[in-house]
Amino acid sequence: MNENAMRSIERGLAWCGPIFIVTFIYGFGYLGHNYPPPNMMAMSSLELVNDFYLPNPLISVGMIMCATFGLFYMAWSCLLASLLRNQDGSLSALSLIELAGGTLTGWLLAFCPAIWAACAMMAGELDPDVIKMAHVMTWYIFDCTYMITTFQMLGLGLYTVLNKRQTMFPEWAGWICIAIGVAFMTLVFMPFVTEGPFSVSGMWNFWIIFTAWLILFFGVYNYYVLRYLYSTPGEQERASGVVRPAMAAA
Amino acid sequence: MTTGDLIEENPVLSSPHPGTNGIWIFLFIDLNIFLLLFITYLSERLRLPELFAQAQSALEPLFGLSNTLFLLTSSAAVAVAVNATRENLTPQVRRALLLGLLFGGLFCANKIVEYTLKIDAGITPATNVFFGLYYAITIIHFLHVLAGMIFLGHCWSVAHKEAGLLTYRKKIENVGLFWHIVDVLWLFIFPLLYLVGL
Repeated sequence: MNENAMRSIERGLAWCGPIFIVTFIYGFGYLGHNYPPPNMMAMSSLELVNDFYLPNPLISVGMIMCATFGLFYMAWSCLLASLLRNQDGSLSALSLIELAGGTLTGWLLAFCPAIWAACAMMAGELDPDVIKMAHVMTWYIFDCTYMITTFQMLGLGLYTVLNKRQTMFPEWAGWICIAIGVAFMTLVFMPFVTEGPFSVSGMWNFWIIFTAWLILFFGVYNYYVLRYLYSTPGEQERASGVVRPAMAAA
Repeated sequence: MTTGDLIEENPVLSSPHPGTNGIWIFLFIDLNIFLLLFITYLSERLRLPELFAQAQSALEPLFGLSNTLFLLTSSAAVAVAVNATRENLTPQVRRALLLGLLFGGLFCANKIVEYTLKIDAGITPATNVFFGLYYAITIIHFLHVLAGMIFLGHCWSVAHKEAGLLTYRKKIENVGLFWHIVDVLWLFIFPLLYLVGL
């Protein structure tokens, strides 16, 4: 494939990251009224429908926006995996874990909002208990399968920390990535608590965890990916840590 | 090329401070996560002072105190092991690491007994906000203790082969730093959860 074309494609995929951040904050957070989400475990079905869904008709619009742009995360993760190479240029197990984790996370980021969009559209027509069941179940899927993203972050973080030849990503970013990935485990408390920091809308399980993920992981790696892809081919070769055959022979 | 040249060329081995750069970065990040947890705890405590006071009375300070003593003793033993490594006293390294592991094990056993008694009494993370935070903070710390014991166990198991090597010295310094931080964290967790407000 033509090198310039490949470079353009990679840069396009890299920009999927910022596009995802902006559209998701707007669609999920603002239009979707998830700042924070309603504390569903402490609400009755009627409260959920009458106080959350019915007064906010743009929730469905926000969620459909997320269903569209959520998969931009997947595209970005695929690009990221392609950068995580061994010394001989091959993809390692860590690259593949990052790829699988990123793809599944992208799926969740699109799939769950699609269901919430359906809840929003049907809130005035169906039994409130049905709406709550779909709403709660989807949050369980969204939050309690955190291990998908944890594995992605472990793969990426370990590659960053252990591959001493690469300079695309600084070591501290890898450690932060691992730390945030592990910190997700407090999401296991979410289904069982009705108030406090570990509820679905809690200070820890919503604000701290998701803000840290968005800014300290996704924002940081977005920056370094873009920086790498806009550097010269020579700089890219040195930063990737891949040893070309000519270099190896020398 | 001499050993001195190798050390000078290798940034890991030639760092002037104990351990490697990576462990200091990791510890900084780890401490910040615990800082956020402590801030969350204090914020909830300000919001629900009566609930926290009432729930805290269900904790046994004796469990916390004994765990503090276990970890302090273990930490001291690991410090002895690190010093012994620098002096090339391999039998002393192994003995000290074993002592560190023993007291780490006592901490774990004590913690499991405490959790079991709580759960038998119907006190779980879902009981209220205080116990949600209690379980979250202590379980995350407990996982650190388990990880530390795995690292200590590894150092103990390879000491007879590697204790004279510079790479082993950096390894045990890294593990020692991690273990001391685990200890220091408990010195904050114990008064925060068990004592403040009594």
